[in-house]
Amino acid sequence: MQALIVVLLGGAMVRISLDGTYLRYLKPVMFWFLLAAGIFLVGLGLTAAWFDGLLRKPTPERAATEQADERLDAHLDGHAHEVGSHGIQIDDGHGHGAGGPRVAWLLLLPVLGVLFVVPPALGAYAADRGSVAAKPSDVLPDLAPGDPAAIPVAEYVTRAVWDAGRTLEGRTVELTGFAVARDDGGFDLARLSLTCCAADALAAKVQLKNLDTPVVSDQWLTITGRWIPGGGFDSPSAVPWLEVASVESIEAPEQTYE
Amino acid sequence: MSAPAPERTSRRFRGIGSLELLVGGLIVLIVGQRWIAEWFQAPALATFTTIFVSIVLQALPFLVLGVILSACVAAFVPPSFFAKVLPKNSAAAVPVAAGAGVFLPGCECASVPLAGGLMARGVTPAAALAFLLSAPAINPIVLASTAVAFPNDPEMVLARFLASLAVALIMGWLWAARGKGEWIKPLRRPDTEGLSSWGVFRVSAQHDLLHAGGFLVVGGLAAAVLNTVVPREWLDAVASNPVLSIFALAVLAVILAICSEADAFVAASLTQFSLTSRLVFLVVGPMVDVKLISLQAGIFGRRFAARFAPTTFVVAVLMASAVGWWLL
Repeated sequence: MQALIVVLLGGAMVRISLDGTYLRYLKPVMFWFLLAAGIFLVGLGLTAAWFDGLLRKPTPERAATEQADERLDAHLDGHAHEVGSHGIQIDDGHGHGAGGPRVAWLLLLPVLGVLFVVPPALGAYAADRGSVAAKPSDVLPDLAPGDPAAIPVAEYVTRAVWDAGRTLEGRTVELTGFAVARDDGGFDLARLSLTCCAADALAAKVQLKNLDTPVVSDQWLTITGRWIPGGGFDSPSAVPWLEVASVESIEAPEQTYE
Repeated sequence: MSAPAPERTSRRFRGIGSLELLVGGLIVLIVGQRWIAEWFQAPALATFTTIFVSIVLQALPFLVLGVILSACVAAFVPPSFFAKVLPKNSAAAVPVAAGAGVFLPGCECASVPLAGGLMARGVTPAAALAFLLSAPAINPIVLASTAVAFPNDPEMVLARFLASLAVALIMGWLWAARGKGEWIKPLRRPDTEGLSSWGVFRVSAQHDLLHAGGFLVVGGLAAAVLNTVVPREWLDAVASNPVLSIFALAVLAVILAICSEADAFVAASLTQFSLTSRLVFLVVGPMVDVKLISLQAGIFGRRFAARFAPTTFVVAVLMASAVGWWLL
């Protein structure tokens, strides 16, 4: 019976990796891991369903598996009973209803999460309360050519904070990110980056100076502007400034993380 | 097994019940999907769901890897192999196993089922636990990411390596001296009689996956709730107190439950804290966090997790503080 959980879980993993939804939760590099693990789980679940008789009549191998399961269940039940009689913990989540632990049913939650709720990529709410990080870098080549030069928000932050804006002076840059309301009534332009998954998202933030276009939190924007000194230097929690020249409202990109 | 025993019948009956429940639930979900999705639109709830799904999805491939390795150990590695490579004496096997952690460049989710598989194959628990603690903390990928995150404090890498290795050794030896085998629930290694090697592989893999996976979800839920509801301002309030800041970051490491490859970047961003308290964050995180405690409870049982996790937490905080005081 619980073989179905494994199949559903694997199927959900295969589906979100193929349709690109996984990019809301994970880095692009996780694609192959997710797909491979998903395919393995579907295979494992189907094989188990086959041997456990969900899909066909009993065979000697299935009988052997069942016997093994029963001996083991008896063994574990004895253990649970013994633990219970000591008054410690009776339900340790290992009731073996229908040949598997009850706790395994919880694996349906992430399946429901990705197939029915489909939560969005992290946005302003997470950027506002999560960790800000201006990633330090020792090697700063010259800014990419172009007027304006389109660069990631995190690169702008690194150049402005860790190099006192030296490579930004006199240039116009183009940044793409989403708006985050500041406590002082203004707005930051933010972009989140993931190291492993959305739980470790770090925000690169730029404070928008001279912004005369009305925006709302979570609105995606492409902004051109010039670096002006301010917002702090040589600190990972600094939020550098950008003097806004133009604002364009855009659709959220497929890869919302940098 | 031609005539099912009465117990077998009742079990099958329960199986049908849960199948009906599953189908019923799915129908409700399919019909009500629009409304359900709308409830999750609120920013806090959406952030919670995203983080939950993301933690579980990130951990699953590594958990699957750990489950596969563990099932391979169960199915294809003879117990005599470990008897040959590991010293007989548990106290002597601990440093070998802790050092071997360098070679598993994976994450904590893979090391828990693997340590369970090693124990089931006759590796002494003290050595398997030392491996469990050291593997996610001192592998090359983790150390490299620490170096990248702390470019101005290269001694952080050495401090992290030394403190983490020390915790793994101390916990291994502590288990060898004081640990009781009965704290670990009887490892469910299916009786392999009548099964081929692949049969053993399949049964072990499915079993580990269902146990560890279910507990991974519990841990992911806890981490996502704490990640979403605990206000970060609480942190700023204690950052200036040297003792409180160490405790605060140790607790933060437990509740955030982020991968050991990623935690250095988060630690680097906590600039209001001292380097020593951030070292504590890096040493505690890969060894004790809500997701790991839950996984350990799944693989080794709650009696084990209830003793092992708090002890590891205390040892990790003490060792990291000592190494930080000495090196940083």
